[in-house]
Amino acid sequence: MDFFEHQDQARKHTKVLVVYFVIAVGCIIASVYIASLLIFYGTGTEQEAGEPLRKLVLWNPQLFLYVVLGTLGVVIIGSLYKTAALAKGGSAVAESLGGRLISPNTTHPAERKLRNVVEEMAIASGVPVPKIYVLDDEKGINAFAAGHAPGDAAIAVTRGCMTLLNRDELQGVIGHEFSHILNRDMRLNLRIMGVIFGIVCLAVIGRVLIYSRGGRDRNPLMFLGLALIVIGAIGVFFGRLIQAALSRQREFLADASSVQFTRNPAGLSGALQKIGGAGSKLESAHAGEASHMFFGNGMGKPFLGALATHPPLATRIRAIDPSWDGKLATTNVKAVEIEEPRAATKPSPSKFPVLPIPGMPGAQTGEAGLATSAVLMGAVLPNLGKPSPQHLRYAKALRNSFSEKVQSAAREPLDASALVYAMLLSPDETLRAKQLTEIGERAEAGVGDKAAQLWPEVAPIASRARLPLVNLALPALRQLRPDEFEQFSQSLQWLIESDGRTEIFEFVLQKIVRRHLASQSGETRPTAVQYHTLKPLGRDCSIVLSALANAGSSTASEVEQAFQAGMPRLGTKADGLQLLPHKESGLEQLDTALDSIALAAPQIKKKLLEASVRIVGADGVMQEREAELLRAIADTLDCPIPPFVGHAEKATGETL
Amino acid sequence: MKGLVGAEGGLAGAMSRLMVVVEQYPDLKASKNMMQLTEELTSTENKVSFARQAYNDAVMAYNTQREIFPSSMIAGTFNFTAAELFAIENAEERTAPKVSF
Repeated sequence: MDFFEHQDQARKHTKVLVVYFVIAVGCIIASVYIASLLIFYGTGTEQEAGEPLRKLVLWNPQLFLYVVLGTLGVVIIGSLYKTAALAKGGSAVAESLGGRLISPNTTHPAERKLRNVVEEMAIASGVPVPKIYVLDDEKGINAFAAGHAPGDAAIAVTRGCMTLLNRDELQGVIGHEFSHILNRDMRLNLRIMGVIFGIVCLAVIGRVLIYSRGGRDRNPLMFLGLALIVIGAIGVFFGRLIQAALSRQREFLADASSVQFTRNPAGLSGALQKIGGAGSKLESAHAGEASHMFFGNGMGKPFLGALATHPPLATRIRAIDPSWDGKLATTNVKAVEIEEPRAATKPSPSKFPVLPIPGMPGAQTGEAGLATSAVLMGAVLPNLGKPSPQHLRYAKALRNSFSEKVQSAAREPLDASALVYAMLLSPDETLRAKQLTEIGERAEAGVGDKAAQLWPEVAPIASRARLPLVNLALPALRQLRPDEFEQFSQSLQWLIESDGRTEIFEFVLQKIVRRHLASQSGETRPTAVQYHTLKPLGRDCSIVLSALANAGSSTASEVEQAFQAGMPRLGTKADGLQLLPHKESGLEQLDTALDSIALAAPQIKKKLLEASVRIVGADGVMQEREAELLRAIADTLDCPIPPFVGHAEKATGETL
Repeated sequence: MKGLVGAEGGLAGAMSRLMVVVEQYPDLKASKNMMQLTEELTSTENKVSFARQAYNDAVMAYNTQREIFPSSMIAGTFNFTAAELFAIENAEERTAPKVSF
């Protein structure tokens, strides 16, 4: 079915629904008539008790005329009143929701882009360019068009819509809104809103009639009032139902038109998928009144599916893109403003790109992934204080800072193992000599010498650059033969223990090597989920979070504070968790705890990771120690975090 | 119609020459003004193509309507002629000018 057929179909549906609506109003009139007929008949017989029973006259033209005139009069007056309230057109609605008008000659890049896209769509749909508003306070992705006629229409987009969508997606959204303008959906909606308001008026009049004369004298108007309230309530319910159904059909029509205007289903489908990730909820208190005008569902989940003003996202995406794979979870919804020159100079935190967490299990919702990254940003940014272009430059500089010798060593399997040994060598001279001889005995010929050669090169490397270096060496280490690997991992173990204590870097390094190279030694990690609730893992979670809190803060109160900051993330089930002293949350305990948490369900891992990020970010500073621990934790949870300088270093690993 | 087609071809030619010049200066490519210019160029190009597309959609709707039964009688009686689609004859002009930054 092409989009023209789609539009025809949607239009037919809409017509049917309008007919339903007229029928509903007709039924209301009929039931008011019958109610008044019965009431007047009933009261009439009692008043004239002496006379023989009058026949019930079913057709009373005079009464019918009164009822029709009265009901329609109320509905029409009500609807006119409502329409007059909205008479100013789209700009009034946009301003009431907190919209800011974008001037035609704006120079802000994002606004300029929005303006251009709107102008393009105006040309494509043959509608005059409407006024353009931005809802600065709304972070979700949403947009709406309002107005009576194309001439006084206004289009408003949320800030999230402007910054999170790329040009094609923005075009899809704007095309959708233009369809609402072109097909006069706004007017239809306004009229139906008016009629519903009229029906509400009916119920109000009913209430007035009940109290009008008070007392318990057999007042026929009182019964009529009661009947009006009941009829009004039922009418409103069905009215809303039909309105919602109408709005849903109109959304399909608008989606189809958007594809017609842009000739690019991918854009709109991408925008809808990003809504799945970033949400489309609106903050404004007035959003409810205009919820049916928006691009996406602006309110929370409606309590009745039939009352939803928008079709489910998945249905909408499938309608325009049948080959869609069903994945809404766009964990890396990032601001497209990275390309924009102004973004770098604006200090507003939300303008920064949201760091994606690669490898986040697909089962998790996009929203959750986004939330985690957002907190991460909050924790990472103060430490970093640099926007994205600097990241890339940093990555380049980082890679170039490794000497040629080190870089080439990271590419050869045996040299790479020497490189890892070299990183673990002790700064103490006598101990180092002992370590080197031991390596010489254990490892292949030449590895010990190589490690000795590399040590002067490796030693001065700052600790934050060391883990990236390990990452660089991983691909080469993977090429080790099983027996070589076995021997490598044993030497590693010995080397780490040789100085009598395990440093945090050593712990993380061993964790990473074990994790990523486990398949080399033929040992398989159990991957099946064994824990579905937090309860059996309470102790392990306590250990992990305590270790993080201890790593971040020195004084007891700060530790406690940081620990408490993370607790709410784990939900109500976290009551059993307690802060453990440093001794009980050491690296050894941490190691076993992480191994058991690795077998937990993704939801639990996600919560724990969120809590960890909160704890690390509690004091607003991310120390290297904390960051390394966090990395090890995230790595065990199969949600590797790019090492603190964002994805920059990750990029280094990939370029090689 | 012919004039329009010619003008569009001219624009496309000028655009591709500009892009070739820009390609040679990486610094220019990264500059803020250049980015704004790119945005404007993209928008202008889109406007041209959307206008063409809107015109063609209208022509198609008109031509269809002209041949469908009830309205076809009136169209036949009053001698409505078929409208012409906006098509580009030259194969080279068909391809969008390359915008690569």
